[in-house]
Amino acid sequence: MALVRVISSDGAAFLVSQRLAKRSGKLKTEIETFRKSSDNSEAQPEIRIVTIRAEILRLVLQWLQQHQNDPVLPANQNEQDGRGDAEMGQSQWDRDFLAPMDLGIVMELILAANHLEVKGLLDITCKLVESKITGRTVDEIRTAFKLKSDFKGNEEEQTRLENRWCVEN
Amino acid sequence: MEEANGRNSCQLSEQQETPSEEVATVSIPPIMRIPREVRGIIFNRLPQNEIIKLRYVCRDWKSEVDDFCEFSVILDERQPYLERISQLRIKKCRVFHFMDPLPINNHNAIENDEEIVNNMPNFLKCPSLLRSLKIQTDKISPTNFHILIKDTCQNLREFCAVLPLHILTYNLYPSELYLRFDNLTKLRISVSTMPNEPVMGPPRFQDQLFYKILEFPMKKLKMLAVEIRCLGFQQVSKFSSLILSFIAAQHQTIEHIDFDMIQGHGMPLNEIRPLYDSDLKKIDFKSLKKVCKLESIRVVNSTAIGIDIWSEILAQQKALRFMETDILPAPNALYKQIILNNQDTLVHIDIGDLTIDVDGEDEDMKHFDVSVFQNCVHLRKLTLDRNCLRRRPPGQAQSAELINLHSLPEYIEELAINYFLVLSDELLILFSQAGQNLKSLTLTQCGDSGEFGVDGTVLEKIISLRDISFIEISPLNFSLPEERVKLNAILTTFGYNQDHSYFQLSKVSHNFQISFDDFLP
Repeated sequence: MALVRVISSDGAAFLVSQRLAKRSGKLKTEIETFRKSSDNSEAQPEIRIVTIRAEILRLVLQWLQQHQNDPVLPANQNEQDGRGDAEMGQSQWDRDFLAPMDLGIVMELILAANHLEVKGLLDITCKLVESKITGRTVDEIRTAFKLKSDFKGNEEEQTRLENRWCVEN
Repeated sequence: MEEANGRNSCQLSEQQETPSEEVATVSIPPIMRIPREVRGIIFNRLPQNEIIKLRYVCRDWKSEVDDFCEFSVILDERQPYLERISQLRIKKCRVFHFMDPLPINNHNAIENDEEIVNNMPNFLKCPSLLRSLKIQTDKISPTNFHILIKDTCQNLREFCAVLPLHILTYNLYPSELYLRFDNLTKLRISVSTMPNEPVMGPPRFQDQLFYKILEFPMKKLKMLAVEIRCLGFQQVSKFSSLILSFIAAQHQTIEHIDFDMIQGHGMPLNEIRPLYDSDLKKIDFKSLKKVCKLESIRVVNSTAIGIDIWSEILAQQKALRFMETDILPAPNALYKQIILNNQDTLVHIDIGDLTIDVDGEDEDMKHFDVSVFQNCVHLRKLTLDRNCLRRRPPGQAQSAELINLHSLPEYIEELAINYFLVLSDELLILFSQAGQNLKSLTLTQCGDSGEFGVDGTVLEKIISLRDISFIEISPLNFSLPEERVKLNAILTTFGYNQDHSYFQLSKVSHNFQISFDDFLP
């Protein structure tokens, strides 16, 4: 089985099958680039991901492993109607996978999924963030994300006026 | 080396793992540790009313919503939000009212028409983002119409437009303007050349906006819907030729066609006429022959002009799911062939016969054998109509008879038969066998005497069908005394007077009408 070494920002190396790695758009491109530039077709590719640390990279690979037989979703979802297709694929396994994570880890995972082009993982992690917004009041959202209003003077009132086009339509 | 590279993300995680309450409050909240573009992506996945709410959360989020989120808007200048809307990043736009002129960029430069084009104001902040534009009103000025499409056409996926006469004939810049819709997948246009007031002569055809829109092939077009209301044989011929040429140019991608042509006044209804020779010459018939991957087609062409070409397009198809036409005389050979060619896929069939007479000559034309539908295993809706009888003076029209009604495929949910004679006994067999899944039934002018049509026994059977929620029968057959008693019993139960000639029943849950749009991706 052809393997690839994926190395995290903090130097941890993960040995994974190329078949699995290629389910990430980014790794797929990297492996192919390596192929073209290497004289030895048997050589094992080594890919450094300088923006993702070991803990997060492990989670991504774990997710890929679990979903290795899913159909690969097209990356440029915005071209069609982006919303709605995230509905599919949220399995019990995914829910258990995400459940113990705090928001910080989720954010790192979003970045990693975005960087490595793993659409399915990006979908479920974004969905988790969305669920903290949908149907909540502005105050509830601020609490959920530990944010504070920094509007000054009549800025908030101004925003309200600007939003009228949508609210009243 | 690795240490240095990894610094950024390690730092973040250290912060977040810090147990101390104090530090946590001053540290950056997790959601703010990702780049604002990524937050923009997350926000943009939410429904519009949720996105708009995020602008109240904090200044950063407000600016991120404004920089990355895209909106669907209604353009209506009678509302006070027009200026705000023009500042948004818009992906879908529906236009309700847009007449007022926008301020022109450079007043001094305007000397001729070309200058007007060059100095047209921009309305949308990001025209290249627009994916769907629907102009469903004639309350739009020609200039505003152009302002909306000139910069957006290249990236539009869906374009719907009503083109009334004042827009259609608007000829600000004849030859310099090219409209290219290279990414369009759905095009729906509605054209009317019927003026409210008489106009001075027809516009030069090649300068019309309609022609401009269809001038270049659209490489990705899957759906074309055109509705044409025009006057006179010459216009019908020209429009038909234009549309057919356009379809020929789209033969590689086109999957759905909706062609609806109505002619304003006085054209003989029982006479098939070809297009003008000069218009015929413009059609690339070789390419038109390659249009053979249609999933749905609707051809409603009451003008009977060029219908031979449309019939040929129909005859080329092998995988139709939806077919609605009034150009095929129901009991003829071509029509049967089309059904057989597509019997594995057809879900919806609606045919109304446009013109052709069944008077006398051909014995076959007097009987229509429904068993042609027998192997259409996916068929859910069937409408058989003989419009021609309505259009003719009484006495000249002869009804054809439907036979083998019991051989309909058994999953039919909606059935409508209009202006065909149907034997009462056949109806009884139908409702005991194949017709048991019917949800909707319409029988119009199917006989009201002798052994034809709906008598008491048949109506009893119909109202006891398990899933039926819509019934319309007109007229009823009262000719036998015992059947009349039965009919009146049912009629009075449903609140009708005795001997009422029609029966209608509509349950509230009636909501299963299939239309052309249901077959679009």
